Parts: sequence; C-alpha cells; structure tokens
Amino acid sequence: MWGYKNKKYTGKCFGSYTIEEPIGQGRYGVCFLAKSDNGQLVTIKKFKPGMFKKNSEKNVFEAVILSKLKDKRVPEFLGVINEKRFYGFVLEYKQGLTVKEMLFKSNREFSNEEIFNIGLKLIRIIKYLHENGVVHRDIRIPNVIIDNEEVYLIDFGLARWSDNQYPSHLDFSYLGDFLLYLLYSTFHTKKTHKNLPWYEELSMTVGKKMFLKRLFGIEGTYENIGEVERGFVASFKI
Amino acid sequence: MSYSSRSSNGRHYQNGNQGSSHYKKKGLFGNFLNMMGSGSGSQNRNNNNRNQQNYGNQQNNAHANNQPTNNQSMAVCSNCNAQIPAGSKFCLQCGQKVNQGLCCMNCGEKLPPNAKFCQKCGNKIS
Repeated sequence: MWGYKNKKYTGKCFGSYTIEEPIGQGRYGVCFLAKSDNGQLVTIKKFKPGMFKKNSEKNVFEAVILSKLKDKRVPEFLGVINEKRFYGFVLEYKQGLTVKEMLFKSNREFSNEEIFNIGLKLIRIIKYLHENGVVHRDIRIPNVIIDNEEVYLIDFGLARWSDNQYPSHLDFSYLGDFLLYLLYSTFHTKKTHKNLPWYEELSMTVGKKMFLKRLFGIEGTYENIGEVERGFVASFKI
Repeated sequence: MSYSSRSSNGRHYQNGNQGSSHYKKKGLFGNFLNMMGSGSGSQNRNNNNRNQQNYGNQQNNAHANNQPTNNQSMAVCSNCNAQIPAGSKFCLQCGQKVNQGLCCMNCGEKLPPNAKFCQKCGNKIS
C-alpha cells in the first residue's frame, strides 16, 4: 500500500521526532506516525513538496483552527516541521481504529445501541465545533476514530470558519452519510440486487428515515446542530 | 458509485440518494475516485443540487474570516521574520512557538504571550 517514497522516511528524524511508519495519505501528502524525544506518539501530516506553498492561504486554516480548539475529542496542534524538503504539521496522535477500518477491514456490524452512542458523541463534537464557529466539511468514516467507546474527529484539512460561503449546515449531509455507513453494516445484499436509494432499501422507523432525509436536505432541513441533536435523540434512542 | 464533484461556490453536500452499492463497497477503484475528490485526502464529495437549494437560505454570518489574512491581523516571527497568521500557535515557516517570540508588526516590540495589543505602540495584534 505504501510506496518506497513514503517508506523511505521510516526511522528518519525531523526536529525532535522520529518517523515510525506511514498511516494515511491523500491529495495533500502523507500522514506518518512518529515518536517524540520523550516517547510521545504524534501524527506528522507531511505536505507534498510545493503543495503547502501552492495552497498556503487555504492550508493555514487547519493550523489556525486547530490552534483555537482545545478539546480531547479533536487532535491538538503540536508544531510545524520545515527542514530538508520536508514540510508538515505535528498533530496529536489519536489511538483507535477509524470507522472505515472497522467496517471494511474488521467487517464490524454496529448494533442500534452502538449507532446511537457513536452518533450522539459525534453530534456533540460537531456541536462543539459549530459553537466555536468552525465547520469541518469532511466528516467521513476515515476521519472518525473510535477507541474504547470514545469518539474522535480528525483531519481538519478542509475545515473553515463558518460564514456565508461555508455555512455550518454543510456538515449535516456528511453526518447523514456517516450514519448510513453504520446502518448499512448490518445490511446484506442479495445476488439479485437492484440499485435502490437507502430510504427504499433499509428497513427503519419513519422517524429515523425523516431525520436522515432532513440531514440530506431531501425533506425540510435542520436550522442548527442543536436541532439535529434533538432530532437524533428523538428518532434513534433505544 | 461515488464520484467527485465540486460546486462552483465551494459548498459541498453529500448525495442523499445512494444505497448499498455505495455504502457496502470500498474497493480500490472507489478509493481512488474518492481520493481524487478530497482536498484533505480521504474521500468523496458529492454535490447535490437539491440539497443546495433546500439549505440555500440558511446562512451563518458568525464568522467572516475565510479571506486571506491582512497584515494587521498577522504578527512577525522573531526567529525567521515570516508572517504568522492570527491565531496560529506556531510560525508556519520555521515552527517557532508563537508565544515565545512574537513581535509587533508595527514597531517590532517583543510581545508577551497572548497579547492582543502592542504595549509600546498600541497596534492591534489579532
């Protein structure tokens, strides 16, 4: 999965950090697991050469937004590395598995109770972000980590201050999409399967269906995250 | 199948009409397509016009900070003289921790941690 280009960094030192292994990648570059001099595990988000300068105005949002946020449910911004053609952000490492790994590597099936607990914790993280004027814009299964029933939200690469251009309700359809991944974990496709939308394919209560449709904007929309929280509790609580 | 697209005004919405063909499959091809569409590196970004219309009237004016920061809201790193975006804990050029070496853009006076104004010239820092 990881090419030579990324593996070649293993064991190398940048600042007070030693790279252990690559743990994720994207258009921005690669994420590495690294260890500091005092043994603390961190994530180093290395930008592709030129990528940070090219998108510098956009990339500063991640640094500034994470500098403002102080909550154990989101990674802390720990520093910047800029040496030997290696430019990256040092971020707090969150232990656990991403929901994507749980679904597609461990084939994990989530019960209704688990979906409620995870969904509510995620909504409360989004509530914290929106209260601080931040819209994440990338709430997806590879960016949600679960560890001992604690939920963490990572990757603020697309996060912005909420305003007219980036209204906070942008996060709602992502939340809907995320919840559908959990709901589909117990759905098994048949061989004679037709392509149907989730609201025709999944068996669920009218309340849940309406809640999800509102998140996607298919039915009347939610005004704010507080309203989303109340709607979720009303429709998903066991 | 998911695909990537991006609306011209920068708003992104997830497609609300997908089913098991989207939520049960995450093959190599799907991941490739997803990665192509994500600025942060992970996955898909589907644009749903109906969603945009329904959410179109809800706007939040709480922050209007998504513009390039101007000089007044920036400080200068005492280590490398690069401009530091307001609010950043670190200089994004050299990594210097901001509250250890922040200087006023106007007069160059060294600033105490979390200063909002320069104590010498009164310049607003952030």
